Order: sequence, then structure tokens, then C-alpha cells
Amino acid sequence: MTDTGRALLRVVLRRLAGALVVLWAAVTVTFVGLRAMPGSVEDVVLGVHANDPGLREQVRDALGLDRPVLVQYLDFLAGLARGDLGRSYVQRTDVADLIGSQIGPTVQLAVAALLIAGVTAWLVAVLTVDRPPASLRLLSAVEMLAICVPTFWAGSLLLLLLSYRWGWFPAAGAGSPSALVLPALTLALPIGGILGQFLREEVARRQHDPFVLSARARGISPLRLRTVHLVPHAAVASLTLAGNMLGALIGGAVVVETVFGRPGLGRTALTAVQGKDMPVLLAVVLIVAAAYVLVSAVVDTAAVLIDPRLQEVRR
Amino acid sequence: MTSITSGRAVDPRARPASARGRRWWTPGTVIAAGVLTLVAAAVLAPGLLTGADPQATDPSASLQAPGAAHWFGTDQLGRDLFARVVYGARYSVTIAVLAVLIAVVLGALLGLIAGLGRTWVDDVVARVLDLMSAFPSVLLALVLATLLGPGTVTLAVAVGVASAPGFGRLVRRQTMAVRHADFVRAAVTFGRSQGRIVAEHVLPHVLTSVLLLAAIEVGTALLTVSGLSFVGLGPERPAPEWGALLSEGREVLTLAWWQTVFPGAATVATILAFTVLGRRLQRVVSARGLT
Repeated sequence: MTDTGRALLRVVLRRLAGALVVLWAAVTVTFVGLRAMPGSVEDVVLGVHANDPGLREQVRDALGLDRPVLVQYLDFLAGLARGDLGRSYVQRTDVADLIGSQIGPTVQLAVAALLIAGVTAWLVAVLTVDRPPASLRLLSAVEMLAICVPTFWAGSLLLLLLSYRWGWFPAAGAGSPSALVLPALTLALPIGGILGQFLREEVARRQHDPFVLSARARGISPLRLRTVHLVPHAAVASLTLAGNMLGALIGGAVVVETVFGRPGLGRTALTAVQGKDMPVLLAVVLIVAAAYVLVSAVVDTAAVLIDPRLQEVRR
Repeated sequence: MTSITSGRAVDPRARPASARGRRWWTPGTVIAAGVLTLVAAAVLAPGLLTGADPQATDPSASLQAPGAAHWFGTDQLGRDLFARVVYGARYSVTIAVLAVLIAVVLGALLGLIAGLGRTWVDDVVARVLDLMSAFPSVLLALVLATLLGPGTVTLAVAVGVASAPGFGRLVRRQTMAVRHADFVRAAVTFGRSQGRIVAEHVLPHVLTSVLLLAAIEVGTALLTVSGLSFVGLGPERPAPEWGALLSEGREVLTLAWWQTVFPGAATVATILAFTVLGRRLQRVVSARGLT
């Protein structure tokens, strides 16, 4: 194996170990927190029948609540290792099935929003590199607005105009592709703002770097310089924002799904909170933490792969 | 939710210290300062801005469009929307500021421990910060709301803890930079205790950048707080928190556009004002070489 290969492997293994620790800790902290919750599980499961002592006994038995907390915790971890997420207290179905049916619409929404935001930000960065300062100031004002407008407000305004007033798009649901347009646009707004701002700043900063000068000296056209050299450079740098983006996507999904009445993980989590449905909430926490850890591990590895200098920067 | 700054410190290379960068007052900052003055008035003395009672219902004036009697119109129960927006500032802005305070204290503590501690301590704290960022603020708020029940404190703690890693990383970076500076070495040579060195040399050095980040983070926090309140994790109704107002507005969106437009505009104006002023502050400070 080459030196670079071995170094890369080391980075990957290190990240993987770290990722597992973070994942375990996230699940454990949530488990402990939720078990410490005031009010008992039996009340949640039984709802209106909570006062029937016979039923309470049955529930305790079925869920193994009489066992020590440590045993319950280990059992929970063992279940996770087998891919068993437990059963919902409220909906009486396997959590894995529930999540499986809800994850699709959310992923769809997130990917669509990310595409819209990425393409827009990239185009804007390419087209505006050397515009006069006045129009750049306008652009950065627009970006700031995109970042500062709450998604639920932007979504409500889009609904108000494009659905209710002009009837261009359906107001709720996730049945047709046209129902995805408004939610995706809404979610893309803040992400596009952050990404656009970052790309433009990065491009502006690199304008006088040696590699740009040498490319210019070779006589390449300004457009080629931007599309082939400057913007890809900035795009790689923008990988560092990935964690941030993911947070924005997840947080945004909860809100956007509420505004547009879409099914999805965000809504599932909200319902779980209202019903104190711990197994479902734990599963959502686990998925989000896993996604975050995975994304940051991939990004870190990709960054080292693309720019080997980074290895030496890390202690 | 979205972070406005992505927690990066000001990069001195980013902009040459032009005359423009040094100016305090630009049209943007004048407007932002005006907005914040109004918001401060609404928080401290809402009675000055409106004579109406935000909770007084009037069934005969339900869902009235904006007009001379009700500037922002009325809601389903006939409550004056302008009064509700004004009184709502107290909830929204207070929770956001509280959240940033929590974030600053928690972040500074973790950052100092990481920056001054041994390598393994630094490693552990870095993992803790990772763990904290692995929980998007929304998720943290969901878990906390299940534990504590939704409300003001839940919201402030959730958003505060979620924004703490940004401050933690900043303080850690700055502390490490300062740790080996000549003036700190000199203090060590003079036999100062570690506590005194931290208090007299490290903290003041770190403080400027922390305060600069905090100014902008209030805007971000407000964004997150209103979003969480919108999905029902904020103060109980009928508290006129802005996100809650917008959630009520969503229910009657087809009937009353004003119930969505005005509370939203107030939220956006306030977030923008904090962000514009915070960024100008960063730029001026870095242009004048104060950090």
C-alpha cells in the first residue's frame, strides 16, 4: 500500500471509531434523559385506560419495565445492533416500519432542496465573480434576506400567493411531484443563501492566488477560469459547511413539513413528542445523529483525499 | 436550524481595511438601529407603542382586515394583532437573548477547558462538541420538550445548548492561539497562578470575538426560537410569541393574510437588524485591528 493510501486508511478508521463513539453517546444521553422523564410509560401506553391496575400490570410485563434500568438499556442496545428499534407506544406498530414509511418523503424533500440551493448558488457564483461592487452588494443583501427569513414564513407566503391566490400548486400533501415544488423551494432558501454567500466569498478571496495567476498567464478565458478553477476550488471548501447544511435541512424539514402538511420524519418526531412516544423519538434521534456523523466522516475523508495537505495540519 | 455565521471568526484576509469597512453608519445600520430601538421599546415598555390589550377578545371584531382601528387587523377572537405583535417581542427577544447567554457561558467554559487542558482533555471536549452539534437544535428541543414539557425555559435551553459548540470552538481556537503568546509566557515566568492568567490575559483576549459572534447569534437564535415555537414547542397559548402568532396565522391563512404577513415581517425585521448590526460590528472591529 502506498503512503497516501495508508494515511487515508488511518484517517478513515479514526473517523469511524470517533463516529461510533458519538453515535453511542447520542443514543445513551437520549435514553437516560427520556427514562428520567416525569410521568410513567404506562400512562402513555394506556392513555384513557391508565387507571386500570390489571392493564398496567400487563403493560409493565410486556415492556419489561420491572427490570433494572441498566438491563433495559442493554436490551435496547442489543435490539439496535439487530436493527430492532422497538415498538411505538402510541401507534402500536414497529418503529422501524413507521420510520421506513416516513423517511422517503423527507429524503425527497431534502435532496430536492439541496439540488435547488446548490445549482442556484453555483450559477450565481460563476456569473457574478467580477461584477461591479454595487450589484454585488445587492446580491449579498438578497442572500442575507434568504438566510434571515424564517422558513415557516417564506412557506406561508408562497402558499398564500401561489396556492391560494393563483392556484398553481397544491396546498398540502406529498402525492404528486408538483406538491414537492413549494416545500423544496422553501427549504432551499436558507441553504442557498448560506452556500451562495460562502462560494462568492471564497471565490473572491482566491482571485489573487498563484494558481489563478498561472492560469491567466496561460491565457484561458475568464469564464473558463471561473468554471474550471475558481468555483470548484470554492465548492471543495464549502464541504466544511456540510454539517451545518444537514442541521439546516433537518430543522427546516420539521418546520416545512408542518407548514405544508407533508408526511415525513419531522412530523413523525413532532407527533412523537406530543404523545411522549419515546421509542419513535429515540429512533429519530438515532437516524439524525447517524446522518450527521456519516456526513462529517465522509466530508473529512473526502477533504483529505482532495487536499492531502490537510493530513499534516491535523495533529 | 440555519446558522447565519457558520461560526467562523473574521478572516482578516477577507477584506482590505478600506475606508468603507471602517465606517459605523451606513444606510443599513441606521435602519437596523432604528428597528432595534423599536424592538427594545416593545420589550421594555410595550404600553408606549400601543394602548390595546393583547389578550382582550372582541367577538364582534373577529378577523378584521387592517385599518385605522386595528393597524394590523384582528385575529379570530378579535384580539388586536398590532398589540399582540408588540407584546410578543418580550417573549421572542427575551428567549433568544437568554439562549445566547446560555450558549456563551457553556461554550466559553468548554472552549477554555479544551484550549488550556492537556491533549486528551482537548480530545474529549472536541468529542463533546461534536456530540452537541450532532443534535440539531430542533431535535434537542424535541427531546427537551418531551422531558420538561414545552415552554420558555425549554426553548431557551435547547437553542442555547445547540449554539454552544460554535462558541466553544471559537474560544478553544482563540485560547490556543493566546496560550503561547509572549505576554502569557511572561506571566507564567512571573509565577502568576493559572486562574489569574486565565482571568487577566486569556479571557479579555477571547472576549471581543465572543461578543462579536454573540451579537450575530441573537439573530440566529431568534430564527430558531420562532421556528420551534411555530411547531408548538414554545410558550403555551395565548402567549403572543411571534412564532406562535404565525402558527395561529397558518390556521387561518385562507381567511386572513394579515395574520401571517405582519408577525412574520416583525420577526424578519428584528432578525435582519441584529444580523446587519452584528456584521457591521465585526467588520469595523477587524478593519480597525481591534481583535
